[in-house]
Amino acid sequence: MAENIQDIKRRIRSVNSTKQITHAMELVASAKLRKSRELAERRRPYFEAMIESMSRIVEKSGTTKNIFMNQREVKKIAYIIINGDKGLAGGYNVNVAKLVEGHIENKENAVLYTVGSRGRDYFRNRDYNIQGEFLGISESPNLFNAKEITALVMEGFKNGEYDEVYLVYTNFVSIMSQLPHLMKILPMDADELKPTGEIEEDKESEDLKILRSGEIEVKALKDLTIMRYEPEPDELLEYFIPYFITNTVYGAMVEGAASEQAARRIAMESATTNANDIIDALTLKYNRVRQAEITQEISEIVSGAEALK
Amino acid sequence: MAETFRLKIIAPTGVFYDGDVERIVIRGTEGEFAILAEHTPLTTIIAVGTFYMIVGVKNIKSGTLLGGIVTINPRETIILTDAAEWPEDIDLNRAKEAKERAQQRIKDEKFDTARAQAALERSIARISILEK
Repeated sequence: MAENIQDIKRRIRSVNSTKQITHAMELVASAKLRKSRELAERRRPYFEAMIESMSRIVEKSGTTKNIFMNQREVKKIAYIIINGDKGLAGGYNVNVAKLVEGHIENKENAVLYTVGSRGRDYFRNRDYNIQGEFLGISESPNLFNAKEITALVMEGFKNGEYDEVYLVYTNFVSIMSQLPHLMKILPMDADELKPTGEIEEDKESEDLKILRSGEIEVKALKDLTIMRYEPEPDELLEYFIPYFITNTVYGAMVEGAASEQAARRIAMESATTNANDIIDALTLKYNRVRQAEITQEISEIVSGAEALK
Repeated sequence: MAETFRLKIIAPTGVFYDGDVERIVIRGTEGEFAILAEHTPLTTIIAVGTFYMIVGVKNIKSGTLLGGIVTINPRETIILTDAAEWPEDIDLNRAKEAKERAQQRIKDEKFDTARAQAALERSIARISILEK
């Protein structure tokens, strides 16, 4: 009898309290997940309408001289990294960080803006150049935070601090699956304008997506001849681009928030299941040890009684 | 009955209004303008301010629109805005406090003037819709 009965009891108690914590976290995460998903859903009509308007203006203005749409030689790259403030969310934080690390070719040429303390800590420990950090907003993103980040990045891009800007976040595919995703947001590519919609269509098939973007195009062409713009399309575009990018960033934050909660829920669910398994195994062991102890005591008593005869 | 057109007001936080209206008056960057049915297709920028719309007889609604873009199509009119509010969603005291704070910050060099200016515009729009 290697193990003490008290030790086993203590372990069961400890695992049980861990289970209670993980279970509570699971419940909290699923409640938050519901909220985040709603937010993501509510944002969709706005984003779709915006893409439509945007693609019309871009078509109208043709080859624009707008600085945010012109490609230039890439020397430095900025990354906006959407991450969580808290851990215990399975691979949520790490997957995004790994994607960024894989994409960065040269540490010296990368400038990072991190949302959430997890991403910041990860990259700070690895000596990356972090130019902006935003804490405490990853769980409940709002448009004004997105605006702030966008303004910062657009300013940097305009001043030539970097020549490309990437947005890295986690795409909420379903409750069971969240995929880290990297997309270029600056400079904007007029031809790529439609595919940016892909962050939205989680349930739609590839074919449907193509069909839809084609639809928008046809619709836009039809209306092009009569649509008037005030001010001129070029000027309008200048107003529209920050709007568009802000919304893309906001969308990434919303998707990220939903992904974080989903990842945490799954992680906590499996932790709870695991705790249950351990408790079962320990209870079995406990009973065996107790049984063995009783058996031994009985045989001691019996042999004691025998000796007295 | 006057002719109506389909109006959608969409904010990032959701669809704010979706329905047929007779007329809507909003503030553009060049001043107030009205949209009626059969308006010529137009895309333009709107400023931070108030709007009112005539939905039908004796049915006038008003609220705030905090900047955005309006696209008028033959099919529908879409207003994309940062945020839209009905008067009942607005807290008058909070708006007044925000106004005072913004006014102070505009004078103070420590703060971002453009941001304070934007906050001031928002609070003025909010107050004016309640104290009309």
